[in-house]
Amino acid sequence: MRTINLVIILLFAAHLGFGQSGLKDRDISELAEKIKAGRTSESLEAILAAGRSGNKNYIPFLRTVADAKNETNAIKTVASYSQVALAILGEKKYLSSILQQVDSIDIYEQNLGIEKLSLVGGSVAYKVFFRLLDDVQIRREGRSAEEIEYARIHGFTLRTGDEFLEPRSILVMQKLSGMAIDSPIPPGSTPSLNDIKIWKKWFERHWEIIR
Amino acid sequence: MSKNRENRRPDPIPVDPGLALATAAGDSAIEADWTAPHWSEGPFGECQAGEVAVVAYADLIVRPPVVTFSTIGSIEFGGTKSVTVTITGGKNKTFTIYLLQLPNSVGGITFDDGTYTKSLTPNTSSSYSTTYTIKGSSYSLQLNDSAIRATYNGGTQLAEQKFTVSSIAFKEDNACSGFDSSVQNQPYVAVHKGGANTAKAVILPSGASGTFNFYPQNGITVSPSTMNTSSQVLTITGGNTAGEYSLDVKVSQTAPTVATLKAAVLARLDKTVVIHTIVDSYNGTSPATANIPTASALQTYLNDTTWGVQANIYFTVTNDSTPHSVNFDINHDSKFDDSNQNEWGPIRTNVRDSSYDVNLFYEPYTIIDYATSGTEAFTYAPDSWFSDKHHDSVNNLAAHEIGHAIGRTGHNSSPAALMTQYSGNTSFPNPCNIGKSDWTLVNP
Repeated sequence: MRTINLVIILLFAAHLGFGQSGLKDRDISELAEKIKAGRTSESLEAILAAGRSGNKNYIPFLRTVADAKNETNAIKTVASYSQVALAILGEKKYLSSILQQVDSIDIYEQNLGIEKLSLVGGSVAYKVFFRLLDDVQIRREGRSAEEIEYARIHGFTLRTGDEFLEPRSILVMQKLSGMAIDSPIPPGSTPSLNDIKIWKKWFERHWEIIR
Repeated sequence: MSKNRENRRPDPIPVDPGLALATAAGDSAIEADWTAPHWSEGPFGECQAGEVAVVAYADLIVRPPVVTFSTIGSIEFGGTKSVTVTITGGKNKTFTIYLLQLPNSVGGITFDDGTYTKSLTPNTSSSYSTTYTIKGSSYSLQLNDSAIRATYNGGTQLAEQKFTVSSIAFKEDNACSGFDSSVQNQPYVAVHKGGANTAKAVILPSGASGTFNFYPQNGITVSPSTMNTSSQVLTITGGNTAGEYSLDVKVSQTAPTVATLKAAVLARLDKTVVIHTIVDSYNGTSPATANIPTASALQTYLNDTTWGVQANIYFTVTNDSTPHSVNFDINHDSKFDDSNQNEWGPIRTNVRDSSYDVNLFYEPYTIIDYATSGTEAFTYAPDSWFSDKHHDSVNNLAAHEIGHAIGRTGHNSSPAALMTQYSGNTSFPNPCNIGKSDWTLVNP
């Protein structure tokens, strides 16, 4: 069959999970059932809940879903959320991958990494976000040599580079306001570079988080 | 070689297997082989392709057994079809009937018991028939690339009938209709929540036939629910819950899935856009009106061609009728320096109207490194700046930048995509497709 569909992946993944614990078979199959529909708010929440449950029996199942191709270019996908859940469950490979994304040379990977890390939360996220408060440069998409050459040969105009992204400090402040219970900036508001000092003071009061 | 010979003459002329020969004296000596596929009807008859000439009647005629198959035509992938094998002149001989797929094909078709081969021994010299069921367990890549064959006597082929195992592929019904075939092995179509979109199901390979049924996952519906023509336009209707739903194609409920179309049911989003004209306050230079879209044309393009119909994001576009005079060309070189925030920043600071979701600024100059970078416009979300250059239409360029402004970060690798990183592609002028990687970001 030419179609590689998510259902097969899920069934296979569910099969892997079944071997882990008889008591948790139902949990894994319920999770598999919920995410059959792909990226619905319910399925994404269920994946995060699996990660936050601390139940490592989810790991084989989540690995299979997290590694699915063509599902990783956005945050609100089954794959991205599964990577987050695995990082929460202590899978170092996935946490490391997210941290690499945060500091990727690709500005879109950076954004994706920051989004994922904000969902992972915990001291690792606060540490990274504290560091990124000092990154105040507007970012611009880079053009690869291959793109430039391809465009030159074909007489095309390159649109790559037509997009600027906010400094990473702005993005992490947005995330911090959603993560911190006592956020000094209202969640959902648009931060400015002037808010950096406010967040640094917040970190001074909560130094134990990033110590 | 199986040989029958009538020896009226002591030394018949040896011939190649499968050939018949008459002697010059008039008596016949026939040497034959089971491999002889056909015989002409009489002496001096004109042979057809594959026939062996008989130049004189013989006293003894040797004919090979004759095997025929009932017509198969096409079998659906996941379906079955019966084939009747008829053998004449094969009493007590053992024949092998087997299935194969020809080169360039994949997998293997089987009989219904999972085997590829059957043995058959007729108990009569006259017509003997039996029926087998073939499973379409591997689809064809080209017409008639599968076959059933009959052999005898260690591999001598007596008959062959080619057939096709048909399958389904999903295609876009119209250009720029929210159909995405760029995801490997998995086509997608965007469907509005509570609305409908169309896609086309096509039987492959071209020329094959079959009857296929559609099984939508809860959350979407499809019409029609079955197809038996070479191409069928499907209407997929979204339910009231956004998400991704599968539309499976099968021969029957319990049959394997032939293909799956993923329908992304998208909730409606509404956005507002304002168009600003920026005048250089230093020398009064204004942008040419030809480089600025009209509000109505842009709104139509956004809603009816791109983001509205394909991603369920609808726009209200307003033209700010008052040109804004701004001192943005700091070095007065009549170029627009996109790498210098001191040039584009003042436009945002002085003109931006935060009551709109997206602000579009049209300034009069060419971007400073246009000759090398090709940059025509740029976006720092949620606002976009436009120069005096545009390879594609002003509406297409604006729709592209608005995509960035509303959250479509990065570019789409498809040259037909609105969010492609290339413009001026004469093979895809004004590219307008919106795919999964686009709507996943702007309408998650």
